[in-house]
Amino acid sequence: MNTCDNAKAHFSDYIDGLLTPEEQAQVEAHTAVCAECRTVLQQVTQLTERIHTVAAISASDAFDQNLRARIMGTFPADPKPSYKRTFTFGFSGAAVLAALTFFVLSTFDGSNVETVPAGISGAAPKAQPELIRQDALPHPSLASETLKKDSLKNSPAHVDQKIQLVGQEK
Amino acid sequence: MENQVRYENETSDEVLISRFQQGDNYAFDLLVKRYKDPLINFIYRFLGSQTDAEDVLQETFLRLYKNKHYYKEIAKFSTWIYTIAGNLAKTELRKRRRRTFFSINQYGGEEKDYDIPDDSNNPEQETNTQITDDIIQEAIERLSPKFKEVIILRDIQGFSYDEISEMIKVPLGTVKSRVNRARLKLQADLQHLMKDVD
Ligand SMILES: [Zn+2]
Repeated sequence: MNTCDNAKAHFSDYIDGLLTPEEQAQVEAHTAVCAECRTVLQQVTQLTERIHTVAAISASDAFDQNLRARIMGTFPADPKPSYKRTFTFGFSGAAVLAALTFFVLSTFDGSNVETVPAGISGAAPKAQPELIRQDALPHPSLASETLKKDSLKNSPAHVDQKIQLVGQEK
Repeated sequence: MENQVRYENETSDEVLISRFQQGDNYAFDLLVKRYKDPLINFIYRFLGSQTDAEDVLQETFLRLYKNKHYYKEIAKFSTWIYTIAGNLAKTELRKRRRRTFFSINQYGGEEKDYDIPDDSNNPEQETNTQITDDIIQEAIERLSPKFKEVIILRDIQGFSYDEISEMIKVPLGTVKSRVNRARLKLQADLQHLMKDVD
């Protein structure tokens, strides 16, 4: 290991403590006599340690709700082209989301609320309740199918009876 | 409630994905809850934008939702989901490069796009504090994708070389050599901010 390139090729393993004692001694022998490599090794070591401490980024508060809406938009129901679902969902997506929120809220009892995790299921509930009226749904059957398909609803057993009634229309 | 918490905390990723594959959508919720922050941090390092990173993260979970049956138990779930997220992040980078093809000021050049602090009088112990998180992020963004990917996985996310090798489907020796070169590139890029410590 007498060239600079050779030594530098081992810097990462040196920093990570992955060299054999012999290899480690070789790196140290080179950096002892080569000022340039010594500086590089010191700086790479410092930078690597510094990168480990970069503050982590978190997902925003709206993330769960956005993901939920996107999944519902992508998987409104089983694909049956004759239903023109893709088209109608564009108009009704917001209403469906609102309706889902309503049903989620209206079907929880206290113990449910307690056990619902602060995940996606818990992220939706704060929509404005005044917007949530059943008659605001242009396509109730779509809404019901969406609900039944909704992966984010964690407790299908709590889906309100009236949803199933609407679903039975088709 | 206690059972709930224990289920959330102690159920392995692999059990959760398996339950999700069998139709338990609550397991999907838990996987999202478990992975959204580590993954957004990972994706953000590629893109440098929270909004774009959230878009890519949504797409990642959408793929998980859509392709849940593609996951096979031979792989760790974390490896699988990071592979998806990394590929989507790199795709987003390629889209950006196409969009900025005619732009003069490209990422990846040697030019610095931030102000260089006057560090001539700083004592050496301040070396690390003047290299802010933003400076590091910008330096990572200037790396080419293959170096960016490994440095993020290794030094930001803390994965082992073996795990990285599995995630990016590149031999272990290549991963190690890329990490080494990426670290040297960052040092070359930021050395003007670091004092000699001799
Ligand atoms: Zn040397």
